[in-house]
Amino acid sequence: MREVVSASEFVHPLANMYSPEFAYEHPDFRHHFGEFDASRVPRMFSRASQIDDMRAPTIESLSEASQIGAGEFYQIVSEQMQALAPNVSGLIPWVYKRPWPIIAIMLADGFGQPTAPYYFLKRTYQNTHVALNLAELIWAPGERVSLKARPSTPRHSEQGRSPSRRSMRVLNLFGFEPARSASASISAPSRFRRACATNSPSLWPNRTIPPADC
Amino acid sequence: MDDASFRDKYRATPQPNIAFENGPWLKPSVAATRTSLELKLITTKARGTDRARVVVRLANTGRLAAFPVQLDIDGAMRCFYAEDNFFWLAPGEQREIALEVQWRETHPGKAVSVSASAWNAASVRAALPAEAVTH
Repeated sequence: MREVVSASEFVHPLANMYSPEFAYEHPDFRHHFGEFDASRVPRMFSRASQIDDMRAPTIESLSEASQIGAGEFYQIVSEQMQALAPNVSGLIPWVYKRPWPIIAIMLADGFGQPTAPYYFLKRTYQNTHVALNLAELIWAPGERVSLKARPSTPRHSEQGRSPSRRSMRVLNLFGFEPARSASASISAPSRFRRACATNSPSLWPNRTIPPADC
Repeated sequence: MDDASFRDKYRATPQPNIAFENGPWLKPSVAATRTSLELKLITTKARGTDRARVVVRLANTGRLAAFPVQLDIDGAMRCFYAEDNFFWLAPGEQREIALEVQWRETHPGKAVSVSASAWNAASVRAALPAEAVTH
Protein backbone atom coordinates (compact mmCIF):
# COMPACT_ATOMS: atom_id res chain seq x y z
CA MET A 1 0.00 0.00 0.00
CA ARG A 2 2.82 2.39 0.83
CA GLU A 3 4.14 1.93 -2.71
CA VAL A 4 1.15 3.77 -4.18
CA VAL A 5 -0.64 5.76 -1.47
CA SER A 6 0.44 9.26 -0.47
CA ALA A 7 2.28 9.28 2.86
CA SER A 8 -0.09 11.98 4.09
CA GLU A 9 -2.91 9.45 4.11
CA PHE A 10 -1.17 7.39 6.79
CA VAL A 11 -0.62 10.22 9.23
CA HIS A 12 -4.06 11.05 10.63
CA PRO A 13 -6.67 8.60 11.96
CA LEU A 14 -9.89 8.74 9.97
CA ALA A 15 -12.24 9.99 12.68
CA ASN A 16 -15.77 11.28 12.13
CA MET A 17 -16.31 9.30 8.93
CA TYR A 18 -20.06 9.29 9.42
CA SER A 19 -20.20 13.07 9.14
CA PRO A 20 -21.05 14.88 5.86
CA GLU A 21 -18.09 17.20 6.55
CA PHE A 22 -15.67 14.28 6.44
CA ALA A 23 -15.24 14.39 2.67
CA TYR A 24 -14.17 18.04 2.74
CA GLU A 25 -11.75 17.49 5.61
CA HIS A 26 -10.10 14.44 4.00
CA PRO A 27 -9.75 15.09 0.26
CA ASP A 28 -6.95 12.51 -0.06
CA PHE A 29 -9.21 9.79 1.34
CA ARG A 30 -12.36 11.00 -0.40
CA HIS A 31 -10.97 10.26 -3.86
CA HIS A 32 -10.98 6.51 -3.13
CA PHE A 33 -14.79 6.57 -3.15
CA GLY A 34 -16.73 6.44 -6.39
CA GLU A 35 -19.46 8.33 -4.54
CA PHE A 36 -19.00 9.39 -0.94
CA ASP A 37 -22.26 9.42 1.02
CA ALA A 38 -21.77 9.74 4.78
CA SER A 39 -25.12 8.09 5.52
CA ARG A 40 -23.91 4.87 3.82
CA VAL A 41 -20.66 4.63 5.74
CA PRO A 42 -22.06 2.86 8.86
CA ARG A 43 -23.55 0.13 6.67
CA MET A 44 -20.34 -0.24 4.67
CA PHE A 45 -18.17 -0.57 7.76
CA SER A 46 -20.53 -2.59 9.95
CA ARG A 47 -18.58 -5.84 9.68
CA ALA A 48 -15.25 -4.01 9.76
CA SER A 49 -16.30 -2.50 13.12
CA GLN A 50 -16.60 -6.03 14.50
CA ILE A 51 -13.11 -6.92 13.31
CA ASP A 52 -11.22 -3.84 14.52
CA ASP A 53 -11.84 -0.48 16.15
CA MET A 54 -13.33 1.72 13.43
CA ARG A 55 -14.00 4.82 15.52
CA ALA A 56 -10.83 6.53 14.25
CA PRO A 57 -8.93 3.95 12.21
CA THR A 58 -5.75 4.36 10.26
CA ILE A 59 -6.08 3.75 6.54
CA GLU A 60 -4.21 0.46 6.98
CA SER A 61 -6.56 -0.75 9.73
CA LEU A 62 -9.62 0.29 7.75
CA SER A 63 -8.33 -1.40 4.60
CA GLU A 64 -7.45 -4.61 6.41
CA ALA A 65 -10.69 -4.94 8.41
CA SER A 66 -12.90 -4.21 5.41
CA GLN A 67 -10.94 -6.70 3.28
CA ILE A 68 -11.41 -9.47 5.84
CA GLY A 69 -15.12 -8.63 6.05
CA ALA A 70 -15.45 -8.64 2.26
CA GLY A 71 -13.51 -11.92 2.13
CA GLU A 72 -16.00 -13.53 4.50
CA PHE A 73 -18.82 -12.30 2.28
CA TYR A 74 -17.32 -13.84 -0.87
CA GLN A 75 -16.55 -17.09 0.97
CA ILE A 76 -20.06 -17.46 2.34
CA VAL A 77 -21.74 -16.65 -0.97
CA SER A 78 -19.53 -19.07 -2.89
CA GLU A 79 -20.00 -21.91 -0.39
CA GLN A 80 -23.76 -21.44 -0.33
CA MET A 81 -23.97 -21.30 -4.12
CA GLN A 82 -21.86 -24.45 -4.49
CA ALA A 83 -24.13 -26.18 -2.00
CA LEU A 84 -27.05 -25.58 -4.35
CA ALA A 85 -25.56 -27.62 -7.19
CA PRO A 86 -26.94 -28.83 -9.52
CA ASN A 87 -29.67 -26.19 -9.23
CA VAL A 88 -26.95 -23.55 -9.35
CA SER A 89 -24.14 -24.45 -11.74
CA GLY A 90 -21.88 -21.43 -11.60
CA LEU A 91 -20.97 -18.19 -9.91
CA ILE A 92 -19.66 -14.98 -11.45
CA PRO A 93 -17.86 -12.94 -8.78
CA TRP A 94 -18.55 -9.21 -8.86
CA VAL A 95 -16.49 -6.94 -8.86
CA TYR A 96 -13.19 -8.40 -10.08
CA LYS A 97 -11.23 -5.16 -10.43
CA ARG A 98 -11.78 -1.44 -10.07
CA PRO A 99 -9.57 1.28 -11.58
CA TRP A 100 -7.34 3.19 -9.19
CA PRO A 101 -8.04 5.27 -7.12
CA ILE A 102 -11.50 3.75 -6.51
CA ILE A 103 -11.49 1.18 -3.71
CA ALA A 104 -14.51 -0.89 -2.69
CA ILE A 105 -15.38 -4.56 -2.50
CA MET A 106 -13.26 -6.17 -5.25
CA LEU A 107 -11.00 -9.14 -5.88
CA ALA A 108 -8.02 -7.28 -7.32
CA ASP A 109 -7.03 -3.65 -6.91
CA GLY A 110 -6.46 -1.20 -9.73
CA PHE A 111 -2.87 -2.42 -10.14
CA GLY A 112 -3.84 -6.05 -10.50
CA GLN A 113 -2.78 -7.00 -6.98
CA PRO A 114 -5.20 -9.54 -5.45
CA THR A 115 -6.94 -8.43 -2.28
CA ALA A 116 -7.77 -10.67 0.69
CA PRO A 117 -11.23 -11.52 -0.77
CA TYR A 118 -9.51 -13.06 -3.82
CA TYR A 119 -7.92 -15.71 -1.59
CA PHE A 120 -11.02 -16.23 0.57
CA LEU A 121 -12.96 -16.97 -2.62
CA LYS A 122 -10.20 -19.12 -4.13
CA ARG A 123 -10.10 -21.40 -1.10
CA THR A 124 -13.77 -22.29 -1.53
CA TYR A 125 -12.76 -24.17 -4.70
CA GLN A 126 -9.84 -26.13 -3.26
CA ASN A 127 -9.87 -29.92 -3.43
CA THR A 128 -10.49 -30.44 0.24
CA HIS A 129 -12.79 -27.85 1.68
CA VAL A 130 -15.27 -28.00 4.52
CA ALA A 131 -17.93 -25.30 4.51
CA LEU A 132 -19.38 -24.27 7.84
CA ASN A 133 -22.96 -23.08 7.62
CA LEU A 134 -23.39 -20.26 10.13
CA ALA A 135 -26.77 -18.54 10.33
CA GLU A 136 -25.16 -15.51 11.95
CA LEU A 137 -21.61 -14.21 12.38
CA ILE A 138 -21.99 -12.68 15.84
CA TRP A 139 -23.62 -14.09 18.95
CA ALA A 140 -24.82 -12.80 22.28
CA PRO A 141 -23.15 -14.11 25.45
CA GLY A 142 -24.60 -17.51 26.31
CA GLU A 143 -26.29 -17.95 22.94
CA ARG A 144 -26.33 -21.45 21.45
CA VAL A 145 -24.72 -21.79 18.03
CA SER A 146 -25.62 -24.53 15.60
CA LEU A 147 -22.63 -25.85 13.65
CA LYS A 148 -23.44 -27.55 10.38
CA ALA A 149 -20.64 -28.46 8.02
CA ARG A 150 -20.45 -29.73 4.47
CA PRO A 151 -17.34 -31.30 2.93
CA SER A 152 -16.50 -30.28 -0.61
CA THR A 153 -17.45 -32.18 -3.72
CA PRO A 154 -14.46 -34.35 -4.62
CA ARG A 155 -12.44 -33.01 -7.51
CA HIS A 156 -10.72 -35.20 -10.08
CA SER A 157 -7.70 -35.78 -7.85
CA GLU A 158 -9.88 -37.27 -5.12
CA GLN A 159 -12.28 -39.36 -7.14
CA GLY A 160 -11.79 -43.06 -6.79
CA ARG A 161 -10.24 -42.78 -3.37
CA SER A 162 -11.73 -44.48 -0.37
CA PRO A 163 -14.09 -42.46 1.83
CA SER A 164 -12.20 -39.82 3.77
CA ARG A 165 -12.63 -38.65 7.30
CA ARG A 166 -12.42 -35.05 8.37
CA SER A 167 -12.59 -33.62 11.84
CA MET A 168 -13.56 -30.25 13.18
CA ARG A 169 -12.38 -28.46 16.32
CA VAL A 170 -14.02 -25.39 17.79
CA LEU A 171 -11.58 -22.89 19.26
CA ASN A 172 -12.25 -20.12 21.70
CA LEU A 173 -11.43 -16.81 20.05
CA PHE A 174 -9.88 -15.50 23.24
CA GLY A 175 -6.74 -17.53 23.50
CA PHE A 176 -7.26 -19.93 20.58
CA GLU A 177 -7.73 -22.78 23.02
CA PRO A 178 -10.32 -25.50 22.38
CA ALA A 179 -13.75 -24.38 23.52
CA ARG A 180 -15.02 -26.19 26.59
CA SER A 181 -18.42 -27.32 25.40
CA ALA A 182 -18.32 -27.41 21.64
CA SER A 183 -16.87 -30.05 19.38
CA ALA A 184 -17.98 -31.95 16.34
CA SER A 185 -16.74 -34.49 13.87
CA ILE A 186 -17.64 -35.07 10.27
CA SER A 187 -17.55 -38.42 8.56
CA ALA A 188 -18.54 -38.40 4.94
CA PRO A 189 -18.09 -40.56 1.87
CA SER A 190 -16.14 -38.96 -0.94
CA ARG A 191 -19.33 -38.59 -2.97
CA PHE A 192 -21.13 -36.94 -0.12
CA ARG A 193 -22.58 -33.93 -1.88
CA ARG A 194 -23.69 -35.86 -4.92
CA ALA A 195 -25.75 -38.09 -2.66
CA CYS A 196 -27.35 -35.06 -1.06
CA ALA A 197 -28.01 -33.28 -4.32
CA THR A 198 -30.07 -36.16 -5.68
CA ASN A 199 -32.67 -35.49 -3.03
CA SER A 200 -35.42 -32.99 -3.70
CA PRO A 201 -34.44 -29.38 -2.97
CA SER A 202 -37.77 -29.12 -1.22
CA LEU A 203 -36.11 -30.97 1.65
CA TRP A 204 -34.26 -27.74 2.34
CA PRO A 205 -36.84 -25.06 1.64
CA ASN A 206 -34.75 -22.33 3.19
CA ARG A 207 -31.91 -23.28 0.83
CA THR A 208 -29.22 -23.47 3.43
CA ILE A 209 -26.40 -25.99 3.33
CA PRO A 210 -27.76 -29.39 4.29
CA PRO A 211 -26.43 -30.74 7.56
CA ALA A 212 -23.46 -33.07 7.50
CA ASP A 213 -25.53 -36.10 8.41
CA CYS A 214 -28.16 -35.68 5.68
CA MET B 1 -31.11 -15.90 17.35
CA ASP B 2 -31.40 -19.60 18.18
CA ASP B 3 -35.10 -18.88 18.79
CA ALA B 4 -36.58 -19.41 15.32
CA SER B 5 -39.68 -17.28 15.92
CA PHE B 6 -37.58 -14.36 17.18
CA ARG B 7 -35.18 -14.71 14.25
CA ASP B 8 -38.01 -14.70 11.71
CA LYS B 9 -39.53 -11.62 13.30
CA TYR B 10 -36.15 -9.87 13.49
CA ARG B 11 -35.43 -10.54 9.83
CA ALA B 12 -38.90 -9.57 8.60
CA THR B 13 -37.98 -5.89 8.52
CA PRO B 14 -34.74 -3.95 7.94
CA GLN B 15 -32.66 -3.62 11.10
CA PRO B 16 -29.95 -1.12 12.06
CA ASN B 17 -26.42 -2.21 11.22
CA ILE B 18 -24.71 -3.81 14.15
CA ALA B 19 -21.54 -1.85 14.84
CA PHE B 20 -19.19 -2.64 17.70
CA GLU B 21 -18.32 0.80 18.95
CA ASN B 22 -16.59 -0.52 22.03
CA GLY B 23 -15.56 -4.02 21.00
CA PRO B 24 -14.76 -6.76 21.55
CA TRP B 25 -12.96 -6.80 18.20
CA LEU B 26 -11.59 -9.79 16.36
CA LYS B 27 -8.13 -8.44 15.56
CA PRO B 28 -6.98 -7.41 19.06
CA SER B 29 -8.45 -10.64 20.45
CA VAL B 30 -6.36 -12.69 18.04
CA ALA B 31 -3.33 -10.41 18.48
CA ALA B 32 -3.45 -11.04 22.23
CA THR B 33 -2.36 -14.61 21.50
CA ARG B 34 1.17 -15.14 20.24
CA THR B 35 2.76 -17.62 17.93
CA SER B 36 5.80 -17.56 15.65
CA LEU B 37 6.43 -18.04 11.94
CA GLU B 38 9.47 -19.28 10.06
CA LEU B 39 10.01 -18.39 6.42
CA LYS B 40 12.55 -19.91 4.05
CA LEU B 41 13.20 -19.16 0.40
CA ILE B 42 13.15 -22.38 -1.62
CA THR B 43 13.59 -21.31 -5.26
CA THR B 44 13.47 -18.26 -7.48
CA LYS B 45 13.19 -18.41 -11.23
CA ALA B 46 13.15 -15.44 -13.58
CA ARG B 47 10.50 -15.59 -16.28
CA GLY B 48 11.08 -13.31 -19.24
CA THR B 49 12.14 -9.75 -18.59
CA ASP B 50 9.76 -8.70 -15.84
CA ARG B 51 8.39 -11.80 -14.14
CA ALA B 52 9.59 -14.33 -11.61
CA ARG B 53 8.34 -17.40 -9.77
CA VAL B 54 9.28 -17.48 -6.11
CA VAL B 55 8.67 -20.49 -3.88
CA VAL B 56 8.85 -20.16 -0.09
CA ARG B 57 8.33 -22.56 2.79
CA LEU B 58 6.34 -21.18 5.68
CA ALA B 59 6.00 -22.86 9.07
CA ASN B 60 4.11 -22.05 12.24
CA THR B 61 6.64 -22.91 14.92
CA GLY B 62 4.49 -21.73 17.81
CA ARG B 63 1.88 -23.42 20.01
CA LEU B 64 -1.19 -21.61 18.64
CA ALA B 65 -2.69 -21.07 15.21
CA ALA B 66 -1.60 -18.01 13.18
CA PHE B 67 -4.21 -15.84 11.45
CA PRO B 68 -4.39 -14.26 8.98
CA VAL B 69 -1.02 -15.23 7.52
CA GLN B 70 -0.15 -12.62 4.94
CA LEU B 71 2.64 -13.01 2.41
CA ASP B 72 4.02 -9.81 0.90
CA ILE B 73 6.93 -8.58 -1.18
CA ASP B 74 8.71 -5.47 0.03
CA GLY B 75 11.32 -3.23 -1.53
CA ALA B 76 10.14 -3.02 -5.14
CA MET B 77 7.04 -2.03 -7.03
CA ARG B 78 5.36 -5.25 -7.97
CA CYS B 79 2.18 -7.24 -8.39
CA PHE B 80 1.97 -10.88 -7.35
CA TYR B 81 -0.44 -13.77 -7.16
CA ALA B 82 0.29 -16.31 -4.44
CA GLU B 83 -1.05 -19.86 -4.35
CA ASP B 84 -2.67 -18.81 -1.08
CA ASN B 85 -2.64 -15.78 1.18
CA PHE B 86 -4.50 -14.40 4.23
CA PHE B 87 -4.87 -17.94 5.51
CA TRP B 88 -5.00 -19.93 8.73
CA LEU B 89 -1.84 -21.84 9.67
CA ALA B 90 -2.20 -24.40 12.42
CA PRO B 91 0.51 -24.87 15.05
CA GLY B 92 3.24 -27.11 13.67
CA GLU B 93 1.88 -26.85 10.13
CA GLN B 94 4.16 -25.94 7.25
CA ARG B 95 3.32 -25.10 3.67
CA GLU B 96 5.22 -24.49 0.45
CA ILE B 97 3.70 -21.60 -1.45
CA ALA B 98 4.57 -20.27 -4.90
CA LEU B 99 4.26 -16.60 -5.83
CA GLU B 100 4.02 -15.43 -9.43
CA VAL B 101 5.53 -11.95 -9.48
CA GLN B 102 5.38 -9.19 -12.06
CA TRP B 103 8.01 -6.54 -11.37
CA ARG B 104 6.95 -2.97 -12.05
CA GLU B 105 10.57 -1.83 -11.72
CA THR B 106 13.62 -3.92 -12.48
CA HIS B 107 16.30 -1.96 -10.60
CA PRO B 108 14.68 -0.89 -7.33
CA GLY B 109 18.02 0.07 -5.74
CA LYS B 110 17.24 -1.51 -2.40
CA ALA B 111 16.89 -4.96 -0.88
CA VAL B 112 13.82 -6.90 -1.95
CA SER B 113 12.34 -9.55 0.30
CA VAL B 114 9.36 -11.80 0.85
CA SER B 115 7.70 -11.33 4.22
CA ALA B 116 5.12 -13.26 6.21
CA SER B 117 3.15 -11.97 9.17
CA ALA B 118 -0.08 -12.51 11.06
CA TRP B 119 -2.09 -10.57 13.61
CA ASN B 120 -0.57 -12.77 16.28
CA ALA B 121 2.90 -13.38 14.82
CA ALA B 122 5.80 -11.05 14.16
CA SER B 123 6.86 -10.45 10.58
CA VAL B 124 9.61 -12.69 9.22
CA ARG B 125 11.53 -12.11 5.99
CA ALA B 126 13.49 -13.95 3.35
CA ALA B 127 15.72 -11.86 1.08
CA LEU B 128 15.36 -12.31 -2.66
CA PRO B 129 18.59 -12.58 -4.68
CA ALA B 130 19.24 -9.60 -6.93
CA GLU B 131 19.07 -11.74 -10.08
CA ALA B 132 15.43 -12.53 -9.27
CA VAL B 133 14.59 -8.84 -9.57
CA THR B 134 17.08 -7.30 -12.00
CA HIS B 135 17.47 -8.51 -15.57
